[in-house]
Amino acid sequence: MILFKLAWRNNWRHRWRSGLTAAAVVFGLSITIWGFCFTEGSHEQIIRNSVESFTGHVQVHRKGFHDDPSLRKVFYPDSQFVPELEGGVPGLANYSFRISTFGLASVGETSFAAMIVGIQPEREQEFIHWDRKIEQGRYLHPGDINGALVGADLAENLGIGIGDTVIIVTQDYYGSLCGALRVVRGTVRSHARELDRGGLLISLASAREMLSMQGMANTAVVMATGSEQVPQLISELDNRLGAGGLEVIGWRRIMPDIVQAVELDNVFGILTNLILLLVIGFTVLNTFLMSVMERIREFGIMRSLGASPGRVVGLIVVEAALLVGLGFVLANIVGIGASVYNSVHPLDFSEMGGDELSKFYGMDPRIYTRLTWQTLVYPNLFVAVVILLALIYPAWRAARISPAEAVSRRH
Amino acid sequence: MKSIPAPVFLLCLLAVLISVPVVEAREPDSTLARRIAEHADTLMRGSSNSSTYRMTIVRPEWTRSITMDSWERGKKLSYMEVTDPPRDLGTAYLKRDGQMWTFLPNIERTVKIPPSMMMDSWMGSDLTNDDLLNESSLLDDYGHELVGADTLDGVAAWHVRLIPHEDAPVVWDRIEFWVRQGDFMLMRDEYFDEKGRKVRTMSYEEIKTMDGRRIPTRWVLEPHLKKEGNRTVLEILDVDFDVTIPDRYFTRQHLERSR
Repeated sequence: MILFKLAWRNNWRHRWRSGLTAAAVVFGLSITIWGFCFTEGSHEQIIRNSVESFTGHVQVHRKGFHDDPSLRKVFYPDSQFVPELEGGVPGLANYSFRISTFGLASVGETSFAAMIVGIQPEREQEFIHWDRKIEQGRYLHPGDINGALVGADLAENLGIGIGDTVIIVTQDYYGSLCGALRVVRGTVRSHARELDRGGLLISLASAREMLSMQGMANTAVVMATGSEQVPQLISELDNRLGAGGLEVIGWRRIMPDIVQAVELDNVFGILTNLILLLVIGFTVLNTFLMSVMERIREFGIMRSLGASPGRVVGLIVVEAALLVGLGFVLANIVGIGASVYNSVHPLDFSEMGGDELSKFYGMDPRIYTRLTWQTLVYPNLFVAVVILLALIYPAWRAARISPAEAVSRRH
Repeated sequence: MKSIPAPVFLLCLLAVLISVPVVEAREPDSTLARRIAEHADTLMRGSSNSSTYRMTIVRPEWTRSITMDSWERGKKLSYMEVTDPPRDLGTAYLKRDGQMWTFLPNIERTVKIPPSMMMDSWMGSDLTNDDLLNESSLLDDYGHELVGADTLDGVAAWHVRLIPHEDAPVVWDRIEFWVRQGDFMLMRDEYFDEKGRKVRTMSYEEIKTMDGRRIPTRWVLEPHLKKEGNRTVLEILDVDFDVTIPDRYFTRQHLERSR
């Protein structure tokens, strides 16, 4: 107990230095916590954006389609998919079928490559929320065979608006060239670049008609009840559908580029944090080394009075623990507070050129932070380790003091 | 630094001198090869022709047949129109000035086949749009070399190799083909890609007399490289050679005329 008393007093002897050290810990740790939450939040958002804007958590195709897509690799939803899901699948929230292919969208003499996707308008609306992505016009009504939604940039390139007719030319199921005329009902701004620049959405019935694919689909888009359920959902669906020649793939395989980008960003985040941690570490090292050096005589007297080297080290550790502990408590309060605040009130980057960036990278310019146990535990652990490392030298230095030499030493 | 030693120079000179007669000795071979290629080319085509043929596309999942009427003049002009099945009735193709257009009756629009679609399948078959457009360049874009005499299915044949010219805009690394000795009847073509892999084989079967000419009437195209089980069969049902075809057949107006 005397150690605590001594340590408390010693810290107060240099209230400025102690205060600044604690402040450095508060500053460094709270920023690291918030930074982790921000990174986590932005990644979650990138993934959710992509998953919800188009791909879904899980997709089901005929085996081989994912590696080598071809319009001939189809399945029959009514016999191959729907019956296998009877009795409900744990973790499955919703699904719908699509036919996607590539072709040309043209108006007059102007043609652009287009990704043509036949969707089930009513079903997809429940989880892809297309109506929120409509920039102009309206979403496809159920049973609308003649309508199309066109990516906003594609529409601009083609010079068409609501009510205009677009010519679609592509190859049908048998490989023959086929064409169709569709009326633009709305334009889509989804933050998914490929869709905005080249997407042409028609109803599944309309696509089946155009491509001679009655009863067929080449993609099932499946939503899980939450992103945590995805791995289970994949294996469950694989159990039920794999034998029927279907292949179940998760968003990690559907969008490997996004997974890579997120991983790369994580590496950069850790590097940045390492620099910050290094600064905190040196601040702590500096404080304690100074406090040991200027008190060599004092430690010498302690030793002369019968204190063991371990007790001297103990004193320094307790001093540090008090100071840093206070810093940790405050840092966590500030860090968690800021993260929670920003998880409700997002950071809006649209004023700072985020609009252009968001168009380019397909991100919402508002970023919500996300607090998880990882974003809390890791920063605390990292800072604790760095501070422990910074304490080793001062403590070792104090333990080595020889009483006689120290007491006789003059400043 | 040093000048070339005299013996080496002399050897080089000698080599050049010796090689000249060799090149000349090969001349007749390549002339024969070219004559074979030219014969094969004109045999099937005539100066002009009108024909009806059936294309059967075989896939592991399905088989379908398309019947077409075709008019062709020289190498640069052709017009084709689908007469069956009803779904594709009226779909037409025009080849002119090295470009290809197709008329799609259900949208009543003419679409020019863009360069990006040249390597796509033609009507779902194992032929590409490029095959149709550039069939004529076999003579102009390739050098012809007689590999030698060969026997194919027990028949004496000439084996000819087509190697594309340096700057020729072609997709094949080489084409090997065999014709019957004597009458130069087409027997088989094999197409190789730049990696030396055999990409596809065309076999010519069922030789019949049509409009006074002996021609193979059944052409079977088989792609290789992971496409086993796929096949396209072209059967010539009727052909008239050296017919007069009005100029208007080869115009976009004709392509788009109301049917």
